[in-house]
Amino acid sequence: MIPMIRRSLWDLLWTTLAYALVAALYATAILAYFPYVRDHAASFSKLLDAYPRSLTTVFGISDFASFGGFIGSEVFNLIWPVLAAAFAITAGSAVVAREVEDGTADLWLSVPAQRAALLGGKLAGLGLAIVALVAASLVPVAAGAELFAAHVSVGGVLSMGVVMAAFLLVVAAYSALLSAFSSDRGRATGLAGGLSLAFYLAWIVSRLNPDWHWLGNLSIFTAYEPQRALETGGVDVVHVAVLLGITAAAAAAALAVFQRRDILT
Amino acid sequence: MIEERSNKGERVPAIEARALTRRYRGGHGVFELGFQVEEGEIFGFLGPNGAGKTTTIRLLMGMLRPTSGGARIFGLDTWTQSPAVKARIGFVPGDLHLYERMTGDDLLHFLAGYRAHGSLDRGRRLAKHLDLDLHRRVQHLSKGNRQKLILVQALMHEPPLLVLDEPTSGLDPLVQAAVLDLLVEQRSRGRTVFLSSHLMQEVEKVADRAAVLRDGRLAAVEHVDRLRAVRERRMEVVLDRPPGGDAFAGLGGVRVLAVRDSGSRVELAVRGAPHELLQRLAALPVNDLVYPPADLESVFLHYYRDADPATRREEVPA
Repeated sequence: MIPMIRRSLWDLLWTTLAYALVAALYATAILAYFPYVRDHAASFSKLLDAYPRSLTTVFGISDFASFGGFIGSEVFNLIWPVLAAAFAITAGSAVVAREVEDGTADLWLSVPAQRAALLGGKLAGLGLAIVALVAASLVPVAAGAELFAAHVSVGGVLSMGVVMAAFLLVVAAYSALLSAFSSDRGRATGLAGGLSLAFYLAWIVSRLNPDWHWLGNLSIFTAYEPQRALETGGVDVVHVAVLLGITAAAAAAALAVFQRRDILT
Repeated sequence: MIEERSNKGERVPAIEARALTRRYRGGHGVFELGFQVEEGEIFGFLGPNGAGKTTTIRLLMGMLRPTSGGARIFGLDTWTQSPAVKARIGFVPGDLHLYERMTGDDLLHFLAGYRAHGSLDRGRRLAKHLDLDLHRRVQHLSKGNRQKLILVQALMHEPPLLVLDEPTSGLDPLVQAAVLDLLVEQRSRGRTVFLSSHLMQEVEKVADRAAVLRDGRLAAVEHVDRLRAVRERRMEVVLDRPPGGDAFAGLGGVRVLAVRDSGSRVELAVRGAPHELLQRLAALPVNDLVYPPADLESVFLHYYRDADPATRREEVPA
């Protein structure tokens, strides 16, 4: 499996670097405004109170006065998951479908290894790339907390990282499952993107309408609470376990499907 | 000879297909293929484009599951024991799709990670022998050099069986000849070669036996000498002046297909060696002679003249 992990990391190197750079730079740029917002917290709170609730819910805005509330509202509650999910969806959808579409599957599968081991190596590489992306995204958070003397613990930053990684792993895993089924990368990407959007919409509806609260139980966004993890210094174990459980199930299904399917190019 | 034996110590064929069938929607596929490839031979797998050659190879390589029947390589099932099968195979796919951003050395390094120790060094030596620069990215390699690279990866672990899907397709004649020479050399070292091709003359040049495939069914499995004997080649003879009416009469294996330009242009069908015909031509005022390589159709004509293709199958011992 090691050669496959190595190749997967090599394949993802530049894409991961690009996404990590964008995420880190965006978080840094936003954090640069934190001292000003903190100094004018009262005005911003008044402004926030004037926003319709639906707007603050859709954009994941909570408060601007605290470090956690500011970075959560401006980066990690919506912008970061959208950006990082785009990475997870494109990379996850490519694991099998790209090999088939590019015609390299013949060579890939000519080596003496179980297909599941080959795909497992790719998924492991993708998992490591996700960890790297999350780590790069957390660097400005840790640096900003130190610089602005925010009351944020190391445990809080690490907990936030766990939540972010668990969320991205789920997205990558179901994207990989769709890729294992399909020989068309565009189709796999479209379906994974559509599924992610459906999860997001289900979460929004569940937050806006109490009658539809149950819909939140069907969305992975319900378990995605990076701001809370940062502020409390811990993770919701059940939520993280659910995310990791879905990841494991989707990855296992992807391996099983790929082990049995025909490869037609 | 690199011999593989079964658990009972019996010698097993390199490839054995028994009623191997893969049906696609729309009625395409390969049907009831039955043949054996013995160790140490070059086995040609002939058929026009779309006949089912690549499907058969995909079945042998465990990329497709048979609809019915099956195939064994050195006694191992190609679907259920695919990794063990692939450990014994050097594979050249039909389409030259490689990882474009990798260098040749990166590619060999990756693939050698799944092969026996020493494969990478052998691959590098072989690349040097073939004058292939492994430090260039695949996307910058010519088609000939890509083919060399893919041959190197197929040979670097010294597999007992080579499965090659149209390995000379699209190559210039010099590289084609080099590839065929390489296959002959591999046979001389005891390796078995399964060579898919749509070119009759290529298979005639190097193969010991060949299977002929048409519309997903076997038309014949024969020694190449036998195929050479039964197929007809076209010959066009241009004469300075029309010969007598019986210029080509009485020649065994020669049929006059057409006479044009008042008899000075004659189209012939020639079966077998043209010794007698050449002697006869030597006595005629020949201005030009066109004798293209034999094509597959001439073989099909022989095998399909009076037989039901669905019933053709090589006898595979029980």
